[in-house]
Amino acid sequence: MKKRGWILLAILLLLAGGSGLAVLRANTATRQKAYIYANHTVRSLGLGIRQRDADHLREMSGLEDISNVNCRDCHWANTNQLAWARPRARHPSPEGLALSPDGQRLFAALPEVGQVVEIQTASRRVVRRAQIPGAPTDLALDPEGQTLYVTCRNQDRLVAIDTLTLQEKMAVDVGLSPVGLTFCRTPAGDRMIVANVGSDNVSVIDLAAMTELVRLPTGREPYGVGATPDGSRVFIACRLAGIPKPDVPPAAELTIIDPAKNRVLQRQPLESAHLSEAVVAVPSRGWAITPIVRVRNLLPITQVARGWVMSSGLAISDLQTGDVVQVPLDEANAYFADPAGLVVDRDGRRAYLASAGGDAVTVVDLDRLAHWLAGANPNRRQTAIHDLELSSEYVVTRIPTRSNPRRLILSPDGATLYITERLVDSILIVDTRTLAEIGRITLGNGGDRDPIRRGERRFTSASKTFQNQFSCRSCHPDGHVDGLSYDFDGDGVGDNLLDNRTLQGLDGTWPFKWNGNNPSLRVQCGPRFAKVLMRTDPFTEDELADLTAFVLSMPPARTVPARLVGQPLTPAQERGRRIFFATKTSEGIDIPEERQCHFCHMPPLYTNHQRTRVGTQAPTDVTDEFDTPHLLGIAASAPYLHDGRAKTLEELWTVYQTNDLHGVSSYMNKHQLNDLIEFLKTL
Amino acid sequence: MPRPTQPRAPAVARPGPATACRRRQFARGIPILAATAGIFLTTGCRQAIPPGAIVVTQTPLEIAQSALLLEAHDLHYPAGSRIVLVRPGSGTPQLRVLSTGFHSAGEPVMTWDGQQVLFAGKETPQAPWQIYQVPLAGGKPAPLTRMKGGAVSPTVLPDGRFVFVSPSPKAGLAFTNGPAPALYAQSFAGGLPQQLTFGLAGVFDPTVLDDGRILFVSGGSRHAALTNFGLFTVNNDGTEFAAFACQHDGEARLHRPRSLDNGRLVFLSRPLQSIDSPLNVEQVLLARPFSSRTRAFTLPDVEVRAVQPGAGNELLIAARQSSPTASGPASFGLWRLAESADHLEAPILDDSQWNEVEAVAAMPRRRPMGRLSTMNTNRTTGLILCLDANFTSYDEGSSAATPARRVRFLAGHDDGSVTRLGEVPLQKDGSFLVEVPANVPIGFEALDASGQVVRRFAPSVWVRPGENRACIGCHEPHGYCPENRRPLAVKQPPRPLGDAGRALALSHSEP
Repeated sequence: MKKRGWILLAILLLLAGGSGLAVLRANTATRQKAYIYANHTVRSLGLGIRQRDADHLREMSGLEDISNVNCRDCHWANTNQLAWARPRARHPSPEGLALSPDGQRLFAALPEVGQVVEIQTASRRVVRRAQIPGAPTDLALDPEGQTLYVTCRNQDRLVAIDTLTLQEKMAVDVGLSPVGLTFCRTPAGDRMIVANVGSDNVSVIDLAAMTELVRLPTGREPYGVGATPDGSRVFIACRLAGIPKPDVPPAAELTIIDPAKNRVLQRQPLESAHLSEAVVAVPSRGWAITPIVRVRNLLPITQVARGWVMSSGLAISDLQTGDVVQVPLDEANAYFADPAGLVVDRDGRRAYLASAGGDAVTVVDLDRLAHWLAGANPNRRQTAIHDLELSSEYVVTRIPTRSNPRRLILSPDGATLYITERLVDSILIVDTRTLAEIGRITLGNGGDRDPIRRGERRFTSASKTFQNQFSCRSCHPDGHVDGLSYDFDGDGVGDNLLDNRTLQGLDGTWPFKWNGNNPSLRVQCGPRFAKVLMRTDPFTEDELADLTAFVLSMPPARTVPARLVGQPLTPAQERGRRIFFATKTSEGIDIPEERQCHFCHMPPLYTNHQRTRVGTQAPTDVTDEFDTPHLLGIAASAPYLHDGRAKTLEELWTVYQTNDLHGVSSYMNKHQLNDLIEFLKTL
Repeated sequence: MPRPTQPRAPAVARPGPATACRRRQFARGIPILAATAGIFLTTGCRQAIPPGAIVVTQTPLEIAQSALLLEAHDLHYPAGSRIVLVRPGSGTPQLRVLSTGFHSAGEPVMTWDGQQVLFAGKETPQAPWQIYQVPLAGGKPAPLTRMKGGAVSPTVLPDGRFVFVSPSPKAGLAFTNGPAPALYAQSFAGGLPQQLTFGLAGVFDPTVLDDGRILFVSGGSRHAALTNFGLFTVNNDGTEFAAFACQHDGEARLHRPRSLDNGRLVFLSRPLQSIDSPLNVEQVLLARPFSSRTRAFTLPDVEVRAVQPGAGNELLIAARQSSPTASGPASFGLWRLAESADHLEAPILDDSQWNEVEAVAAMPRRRPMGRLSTMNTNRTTGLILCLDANFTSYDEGSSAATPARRVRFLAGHDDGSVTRLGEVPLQKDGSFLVEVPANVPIGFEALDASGQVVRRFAPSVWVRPGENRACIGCHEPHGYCPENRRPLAVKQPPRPLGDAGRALALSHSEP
C-alpha cells in the first residue's frame, strides 16, 4: 500500500513537471492563459495578493475586477534588459558642420557624445569642446560668426552658443526632434528656421528674443533647410513622401515659406521622390536644388538592375515658374545611394553632393547641367530622371570617401571642401581645384571594435546590393519606415503588397516579416534577403552578427516631446488607456478575450508574437493571417496594416474595420476613438 | 676523514623538459616533412611566382595546314599552340610551358586568387577542345570538362564555378550552322554543367564583370534579325539576359570584351564581311555603354590581336608591326601599354619563332560580387511582365510606333522554325503579364486592332525556371529606368500558356 502511494506521488510529480515544462515551452498566448489560470486558482483558494499590488493592477488595467489580471500581463518582458535599453558605446559620429566667416574655425556637432567641437582648420586639430546634451545634430552660425546655433534632437531645443566662450547663451524649445536649420536675415529681423523631423513642421525663431514665433506645417519629416541669401524665402526638404492613395505615386514635399511673414508660400510635390535631406537655393540660376531618391515602389521588384527599385537624382525647382525637373545622378552600371548633404559654391557653378550609402561625393558641373536643361524639350525634361546614361553630361567626378559621408561645407573662398565621414569619426578635406583629398581631421578612433558601430556601417552602406543601388537605410531612414508599400516578387508578381515596417524597438518582438515566418533577424537579413532584394552575395556570418546587433540597438521612435517623457498621461490619454485594456464595452457587454486590444498587443512591447486574423485580407493576399506588430512608436510609423492601406490610426477602425475583428470598436463614439488614439500615440 | 662520495649514476635516462619539447616538435614535423616531400614528388619542383609574371599563349609562326579546320579555335590556335608562364628578368624572360603534351592550347584565364590557370586545349588533333586547369606553380593540367561538342573560352565565376562556351564555334561564319554555341557554368568540384544561355544566336568570349554578371558577345544566327553582334549580360544562373552595348551599331564581329578598372570596357572589332582585316580596339564607358563607343587607342602601324587588363590601369596587348619586315610579316609580341600611351615601348616578350597572341597577368584580382540564384528549379515556366508594350523607341509616326492591342508569343527552335505560343490582349495601360516556357528562345509580335504585326522581336530572350522577367516596353530605349506606375496587368493572375507552351515547357525542363 505504501509502495503504491509512492508510485502515485511519483506519477503526480512527473505530470506536474511535464505540465510545467509544457507551459514553459508553449507559445506566448498559451503561457499567458496558463498564468492567468494559475493566478485565478491561487486567488480562488483564498491566497490573495497584497493590497498595494491590487491597487497597482486596478490602476494600470483600469479594471475593478482583477481576478483575471496578472503581473505578467504587462511584465512578460523586462524592457530594461532589451538591447535598445542597454548602455552602448558612443562615438563622435560627426554630423552638422559650420565654418567661421574667416574660415579659420570649423565647428562640428557630435550628437552621440553630446558635444560641439571647435577645430582649427590650419592645424586640423580640435581646440575646444562644449558639452551640449540632447544629441546636438546640426549647426548654423550668424553672419558675424558670434553665435553658433545648435539643434538638439533628443531634447527638442535650439541652443545658442557664444563662439568666444563656447558656452551656452540661450535656448528655446522647438518641435519634436529638430534637425536641419538655417539662418535668415529678413526685414522683420534675424530668424532661425528649424526643421522638426518628428512633428512635421518648422519652427520660426526670432533670434533677437530667442523665442519661437510660429510652427509652420511642412511635408512629412522635414529635414534639410535652405534660404535665399536675401532671406525672402526658405526651402524645406522633406524626407518622407506623404501617404498616397493606393496605386498613386508618392511625392515628397518641398515646402517654401516666407520667414519674415511666417507664412507658407508653396507646398511643392516632388513626384516619386523621397529621402531628401538637404536643399540649396541657387539664386544665380533661379533654382532650388534638392537631392532625391527616385523610388519605384509601385512596380513589382522583379529585377534590381536598371534602377527598378530606386535611383538617385537632383530635383531642380525653378524659382520663377515653379517647374521641377528631376535629373539622375546614377550611371547605367553604378549607383550612388542615399544622397544626403549638398553644397553649392558661391558662384553657383558647381555642386557637391554626399552619397551616404555610396561613400562618395558627386561633383556636378551646374553650367553643363544648365546647358543640357536649356536644350531639352519638355518631354525630355520630364523623362530625364529615368535616363541612366544622362548623368555623364554634367557629373564631373566622384570623390571616394570613408564610411557614411553625410554633411559637407565649403570654405568661404570655395577652395576647400569638408565632408563628415560619420561612421569612422573623421572629416575629409578636399581641394576643390584638384578635387583631390588633401587631409583628414580625426575625431575618434572609428569604433572598429564595436559591433554596433560595425553593424551601422553595414546598415548604411550600399556596397552589398547589386551595383550599390541602395542600403538598408534607403528604406529605413534612422532605422524607421519610409512610409511606402512594396511588391516583392518572390511570392508572386502583383501579390502580397507589404507595408514597410519599422526596425526600431525590434528586440523581443519576434517573429519578423508580416507573415511572421522569420523567427530571428539573422534569418530575416540572411540569404533570403540577399536573394529577394540585394541580388548579391549574402552577408557573411560576422557581418550578419554586426548588422543584427545594430538593428536591435535601435530604440523605438520617440513620439512625445522630450519635456513630456515620463510625465503622467493626460486625461484623454488615460481614458484611451482604459479603453485599450477594457474587457467590457461602455455598455457593460463583455468583449471577447481575443478581441481585447491588449490580448494581441500585450504590454510592454505590445505584441503577442502571434499571427492574427483581423479581417484585412486583400484579393491579392495569399493569407488572412498577419504578424501582430509591436506598437512602440506607432504614432510615427504610418501608414498602417500589412499593406499600408490605412493612412492614419483612425482609419484602422473607421475605414478598415471588419466585423470588429481588429478589436471591438463598434461601441466607441468619436471621443472614445480619439482617446484610444491619443493613448496609442504615447507608446 | 671525509666520506667517500657515491659514484654518480650515468647521465642519461630521463630527458629534461626542453629535450621532450624538442622531440615533440620533431615528431610533429615528420608529417609536415612527409607531406612536403609528397607534394614535391607528385608535382615536381614548384617555384614562387614573381611579381610581373604573365601567362601567355604562343602560336607557332609556321603553321602546318590542317586538312580539317572545322572549328574556329583550330584556326586561332593551330597545332603546337601552347600556354607558357613568363617570368620577367633582367635579361631574357624565363619561360615555362604549362600545357605540356597538348596538341594545341589557348585562352588562358587566371582564377581570382592568381593560383590556377584555366585554358582551352586539345590533347590530340582529333580530340575536341575542352577546358583544363593547371596550377601556376607547376603540375599536370587536369581536364575540367567533357562536353560532346567541345568547350572553349573559359572564365571564372566568384562562387567556385567557371563558365565556358559549348559547342566549340565553327570556323569562319559557319557558326550559323548547327547548334549555336551557348554558355555553361560548372563547378570546379565537378558535377553536371548548367546551361546559362538559350538564344538562337551564338555566344562567344565570356568575361565576368565586377558586379558578378557574365558579359559576352552574341550574334550570328540564321534568323535575319539576329545577325548583328552585340555585347550582352546574363546573371550567373542564366537569368536577366540583357543587352549591354553595341547592339545596334552595324555589322561588325566583336571579340574579347574585357572590363578595366577605370570604368571602361575594351573589345576588339572587325567588319563582319572582311574577316581578314585588322582588328580595331574599341571601348565603351560603363557609365553610358550605349552612347560612348569609341576607339580605345590608336597605335600607328600596329596590328593588335588581344587586349587584356594588366596591373593597375595598364593594358597587356598582343600586337605586331603591321608593315612586313624583310623576312616577311612580323611576329606578334607582348607589350605593356600605359593608359595614355600612343606608341609601343620595348616588348615584354617578342619571340621571333612564335606569335604571342594573348596574355593575362599572373596575379590575384579583385573577386567580383556573387549572386544567389533566383531560379525555382521545381518549375518549368517563368513570367514576363511588360509595363507598356506601346512604349517604344521607334519614332512617332512610323508604322512600328502604331499602338498595339495584342501581343503574340513565339518560340524559336535551332532549325530556324518558330512556334506560336499564343496571344494575350494588352491592358489599357499597355501592360501584360504572361507565363512562358522556361529555357526557350521567346519572341514577340505586337498586333494592331486588325491583327497586323506592327513590331516584331525575333525569338532571342528567355526566362529561367521560376524567373520573373520584366521590361519597360517594346524596343524600349536602352539604359532607362521605368516610371513608378503600377501596371494593370499585375492586378490579375498571369496569363497561362497554351498547349504548345506547356509542351515546350516540359520538354525544356531542367535536368
